[in-house]
Amino acid sequence: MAASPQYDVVIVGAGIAGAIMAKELAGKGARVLILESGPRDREDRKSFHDSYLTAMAKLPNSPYPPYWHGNDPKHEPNKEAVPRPMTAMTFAWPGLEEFKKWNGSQAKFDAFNKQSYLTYTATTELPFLSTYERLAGGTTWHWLGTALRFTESDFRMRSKYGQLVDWPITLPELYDDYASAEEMIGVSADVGDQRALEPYLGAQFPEGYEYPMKRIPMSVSDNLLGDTIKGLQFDRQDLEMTCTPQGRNSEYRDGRPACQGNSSCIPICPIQAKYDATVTLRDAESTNLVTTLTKAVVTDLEVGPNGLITGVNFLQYSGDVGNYQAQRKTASGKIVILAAHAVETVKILLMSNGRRGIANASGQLGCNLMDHLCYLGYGLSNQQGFPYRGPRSGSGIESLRDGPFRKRRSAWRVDVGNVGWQWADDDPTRSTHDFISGENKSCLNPGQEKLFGKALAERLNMANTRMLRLCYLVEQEPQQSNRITLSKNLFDGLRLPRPEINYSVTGSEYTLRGIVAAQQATDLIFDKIGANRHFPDHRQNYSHFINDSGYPGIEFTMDGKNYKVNLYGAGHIAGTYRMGFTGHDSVVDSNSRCWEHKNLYLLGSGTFPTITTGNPTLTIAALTFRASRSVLNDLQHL
Amino acid sequence: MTIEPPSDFFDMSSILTGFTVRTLRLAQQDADFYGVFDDVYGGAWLKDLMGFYVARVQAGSAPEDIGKAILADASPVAETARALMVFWYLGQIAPHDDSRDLRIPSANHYAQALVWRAIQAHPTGVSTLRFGYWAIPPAPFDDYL
Repeated sequence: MAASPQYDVVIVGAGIAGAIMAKELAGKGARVLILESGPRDREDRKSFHDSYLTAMAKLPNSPYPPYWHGNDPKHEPNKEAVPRPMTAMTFAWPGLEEFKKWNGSQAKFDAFNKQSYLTYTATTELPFLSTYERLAGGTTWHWLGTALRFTESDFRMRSKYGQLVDWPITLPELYDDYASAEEMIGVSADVGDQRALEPYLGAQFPEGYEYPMKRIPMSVSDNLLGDTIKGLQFDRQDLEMTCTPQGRNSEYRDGRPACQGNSSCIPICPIQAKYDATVTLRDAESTNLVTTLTKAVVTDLEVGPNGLITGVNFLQYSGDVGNYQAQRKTASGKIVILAAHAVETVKILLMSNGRRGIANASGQLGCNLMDHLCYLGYGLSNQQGFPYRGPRSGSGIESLRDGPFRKRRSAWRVDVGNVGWQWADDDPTRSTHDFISGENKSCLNPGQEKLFGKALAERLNMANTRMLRLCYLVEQEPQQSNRITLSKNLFDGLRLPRPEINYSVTGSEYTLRGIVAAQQATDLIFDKIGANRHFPDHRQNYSHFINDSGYPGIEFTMDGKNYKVNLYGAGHIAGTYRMGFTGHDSVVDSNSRCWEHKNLYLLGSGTFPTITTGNPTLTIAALTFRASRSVLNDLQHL
Repeated sequence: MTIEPPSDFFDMSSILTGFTVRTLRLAQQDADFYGVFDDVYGGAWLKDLMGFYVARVQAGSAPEDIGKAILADASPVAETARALMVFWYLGQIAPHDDSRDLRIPSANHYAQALVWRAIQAHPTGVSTLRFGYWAIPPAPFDDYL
C-alpha cells in the first residue's frame, strides 16, 4: 500500500537528467524527492582521483565504487548492492576465434555471466561495450564533455533518407532547450566554428546565437592533423577538423576553474572544470525544495486502476558488501520520473507489476538498445603533435556526420584524441614495457630491442609524441532484437534481477557499411601522411585486428570482402524506451511522457529513437528541459 | 621512516633510465622509489644489483658499459634492473616472485613516473599547467631529462 502523497514529484536517479528536472521543478515551487541508488560523499572527488591515479587500468569506471576486484568471489555482481557494467568485466570475453569455438555454448555464457553485471543470451555475438555509473552525479562523472547538437537530418532519417525512424521532434523545436542545456552545462565553443559546418550538416543554431563561453583552443596535435587532412574527400565530402563544443570551462565560471588540461576527463576531472551533474544537483538542493535519498534502490512502481503511478517502492540499504541491511519503503508523488539511465530505467519498469512489466503495450520497452560503435584508427604522424596534453579530446571531424551517403550506410563523427594511443593500446605504458623488456605488444618494437638510458627515453619520445588516434563513433541501426530483459537466475546483492541482454551487430548491413567506411577513411588519412619516417619498416597505420581476450570483435563479408574488426563502446547507451508519434510503436511521447501512464516520465538517452551522430549528453539535457515544461503543466492538472 | 638512498642508487638509476641524477632525486623526494622497490620487490635483489653496479664503478668501467653489463642476457641482476626501470618509468612494481601482481604503490609514484617526462607531457590526471598550454609545443626534450 502506498503512503500518502508527500511530494509533488518523485525522481529516480541523480544524474544529469534527474538533477536538471529537480532544479527546474523546484524553481517553480514543486516539492521533489530524488531517489538515487548509489552513494554520495561530498568529499569524494579527492578519493576518486586517488583511485584513478593508482589504478593499473585507467578505465571509465576505475575511480568509482563499487571497485573492480578481479575474480574475487566476494565482489561478484551478485554480492554488490548497486553493481553496474564495468569495462573490466568484458575482459573475460574471448577473442573472435575463441568465441567461434563457444558456438553458442550455454555453459560458456553462464561462466561469463557469473562475473558480469550485464548478462547475455546465448544468441549474443558481442558484449554490450558501454558502461554507466550508479552514484549521485551519475555518468557525468566520467563523460568526456563533448557537447554537440544533433543535426536536422538526425531527427528525420526515415523521411529524408528512407532509413531508420524519424523523431517526433525537429531540431528547430529544440533550439531553446539546447540553449538552456548549453547555459546550464557551461559549454565552451565558437558558434562560427559550428556554422562553418552548415554546408554539410545544415543549420543548427538560430540567428544571433552565442555559446556561454569562448572556445577551448585546439591542441598542437589537432592543428597538425587538421592541416594534414585539408583537401581530402570521402564520399564526395571534405574531411574537416572542427574545434569541439565542450562542457568544460574556458574561464572561471559558477565557482569552477578553467580547464588546466589534465587529460583525464574520462574518467575524472580532478578540478571540476568539466561539468558534472553534482553541480546541478547542488543547485537544485539549494532551493530547499529538493530532498535526495542516496542508497535508495527502486524495485518497482505501483499502478492504480486508472493507470496512474501511485507508488515508488525502494530498498534503502546500509552496510557493506556481503553484509547489507535493507529496508523496504514507498514514496509517492503526483508525478513520477525515471531518470535512471537506459538500462536501469528499463529494469525498474520490467520489475513492476509482479515482474510482468508496465509501460510496454508497444512491445518496444527494452528493445533497440544502441551505442555508438567505436572503431579505433591509430598510427603515427611524421611530425610531433605532442599528445597527452590538454583535454582528452578537443576536436573532431564533423563534416561526415551527414550526407546523401546515409541512404546506404550509417554516418559517423570522428573524435580525435589528445592522449596518444592510450585507449587503443594503453600507451605510453605498453610501449614502455616493450622497449624495456624487448617485447612487441605495441607493434612499435618489431626488432624486439631492449633499450636503456637516453636511448630508451628518446625512442619513447619518438613514438609517443607522434601518436594519432581517431575514434569513429559509428551510428548503430536500432534493432528490435537488441534487447534488455530481466535475468531469471542471476541477481545483484539486493536480490534484484540483473539485466539480460541479447545483442548483435552483424544483422545490420547499414551499420556494417558505416564501419567499413570508417576503416577506409582511416586508410585515406594515413596514406596522406605518407611513409613512416621514424620507423621506416612500419606502416603509418597501426590499426589492426586483435584476436585476444578482452578485445571483442566481429567478422562479416561486405561486397565480397571479408572483414574482422574490433569494436569499443562509446558509453552512449540509447534507445530502450524510445519516443515516437504513437503509443503503438513507442514508449514515450515527444515530451518524454509515457503513453500508458500519464503521470510517468522517462528521461535520458533511452528515449532516443536513433543514436544519431552526436554524443548524447547535451540532447539528454535539452530533452529534460523540454519535459520539465510538460511536467509543470501536468502538475497543474493532476 | 623513509631512508635516504645512497648516491650510488641515483647514479645507477641515471644510467639505466637516461634521466639526470637531479631529476631522479626530485622524484624521490615526492615518492620513495628506493625504499618501496626494496620492500615490494623483496629479497636482497636490490642489494645485489647495487653491489654489481658498485663493483663495476670501482673497476673503472664507463657508464654506458656498466649499463650494458647490468642488462646483459647472462647478467644475474638484469631482471632486477629492468623491474627498477619499469618502476622509475611507470611507477609500477611487482614482487620478484609474482610478476603478475603489478601495482602502483601510491598516487605520487604514478605522478613522478618518468615516462611522462620522456614524452614531454605530464601524467594523465596530474597537470600543474594553465589553461591553453596544449595549443603550443612543450619545452625541448632535454629540459625534461
